[in-house]
Amino acid sequence: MKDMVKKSLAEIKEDIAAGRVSSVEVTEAVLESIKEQEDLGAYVTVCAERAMEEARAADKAVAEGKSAPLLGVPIAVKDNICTEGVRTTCASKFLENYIPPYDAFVVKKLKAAGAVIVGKANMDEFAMGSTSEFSAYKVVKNAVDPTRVPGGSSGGSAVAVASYQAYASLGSDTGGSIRQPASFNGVVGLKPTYSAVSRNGLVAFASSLDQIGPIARNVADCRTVYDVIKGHDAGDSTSYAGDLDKGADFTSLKGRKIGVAKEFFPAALNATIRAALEKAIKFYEDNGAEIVETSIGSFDMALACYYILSSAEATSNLSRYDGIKYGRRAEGCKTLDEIYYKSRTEFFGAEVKRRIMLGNFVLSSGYYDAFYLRASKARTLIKKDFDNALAGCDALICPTAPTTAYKLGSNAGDTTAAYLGDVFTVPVNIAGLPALSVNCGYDGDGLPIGMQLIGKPYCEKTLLSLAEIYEKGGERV
Amino acid sequence: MEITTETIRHTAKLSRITLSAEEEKGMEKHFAAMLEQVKTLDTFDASAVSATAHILSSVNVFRDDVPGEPFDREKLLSCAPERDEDSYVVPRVVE
Repeated sequence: MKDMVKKSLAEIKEDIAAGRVSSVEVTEAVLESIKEQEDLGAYVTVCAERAMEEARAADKAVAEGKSAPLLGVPIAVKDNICTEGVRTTCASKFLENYIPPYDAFVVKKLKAAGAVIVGKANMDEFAMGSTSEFSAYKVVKNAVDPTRVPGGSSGGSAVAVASYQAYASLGSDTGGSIRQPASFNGVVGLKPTYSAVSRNGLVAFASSLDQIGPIARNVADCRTVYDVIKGHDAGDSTSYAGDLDKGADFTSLKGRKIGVAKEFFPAALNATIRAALEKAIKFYEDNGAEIVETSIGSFDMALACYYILSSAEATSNLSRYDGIKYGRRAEGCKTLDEIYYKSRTEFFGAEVKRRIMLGNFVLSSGYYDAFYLRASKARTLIKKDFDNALAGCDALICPTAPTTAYKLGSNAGDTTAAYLGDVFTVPVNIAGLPALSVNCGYDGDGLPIGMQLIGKPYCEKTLLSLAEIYEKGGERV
Repeated sequence: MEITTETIRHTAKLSRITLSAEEEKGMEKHFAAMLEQVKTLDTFDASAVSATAHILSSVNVFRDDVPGEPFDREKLLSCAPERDEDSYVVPRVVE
């Protein structure tokens, strides 16, 4: 049973399809693994009964000779993605008892592909955070070293995959929330191009930046899940109806150009992380790719730009939590204002309140031009810089995060310290580009280091090919 | 610019959130740290740049009205924080 959960998604899928093992057996093994590792806090809700029902249905389909890309395979879904009949809390007290009346588009896609949804992965409340310590229910712990943070906000999604509590998972990425936890746990995370995956049914944080994507233990499995969830959806007005496969599948690096932007390698960058990235760059060069130097001149503005825009959008999106429509209502309120104030004060956590407050501040009269408008203009410059840099290469390469996983509680008392860890990931969301994090080595404490590949719009295939070639042949630090 | 307690209180009102005195102090400190970071945005001439509200170049597309299945009434009502049979319960807002 233990070995079964350690197989890759591709292997277990093949085992199920060939009848070597049933989905019921596989699902039982994964549920057992979840139970044994409850202390890692990877899940908010485990849907054991439903999962077993889905597993039985998958086995029936296999017996009938049917096939599907994820038939019978246990998958985790981040708890900000709506699942009909299964509570979706966003790791917030506000949505503690919220049971969505519908499935998110991506969940419908997973189900149509035969996946068994084993549970709802833990996260930072409303996806606001970089350590998964802001869950209102329990802290998520790193799968490699449980005394350390798993990254965030999709910490549960990454830990579930890394610790064999699911074969793959869905996360969401507004400023690095798939890539950074993937990096911290040594797994693969893909943030697709904005609009490539429908956001219909994703609880909104910052609508111009949010994107759903897969986390898996290897690049091929990541591709399989991405291929299932991508695609146009009339239920998301920003969903892209054009060609989503503008990239290329390839196995040779000949003729490929990889860009290195100096801003992603500052002088103060951790030496071990720099060395791991340099080794990866050398791998690409030794195997036929051309390395080109490039620049993102507006890089230094990205973090401030991100925190202004994302907070502004969050404050608008989270105004729907009013104690009236859905979610919880504070008790003993006599007036409308009392419901608003008491419910929001009682059920939002400290970090969510900070983002709402900052968002309202930068949008308020007298400050709008100086902050929100200025950040929107900085966004234009950042996007232009990426367009220019990517015009001369297939992808940019850089670290996913400036550090490896740090100790739980490290940021206590400093409300902005964790924000600095998003420095390499937020520019990608601002520009709406696809990016992938794949392991490229370990530091002195045995903690995984992530390398990030950033691509052109709708060129996920190119990123997956580049990452897979590295994964199969790259030398680790 | 300086962040005052008044600024924090006004923003808390806009946010419909009540802060304790200690939380107000913490929020002042947080705002001050954020405004320090935001100074990096002062390095370009904003008058020469247009704003990007959204990264997509696509424009609004209207679709035909297509009849579909409505949400199940009971499922929607079950999401209400407070209900009375087939109705949402809210406080009186008109005297």
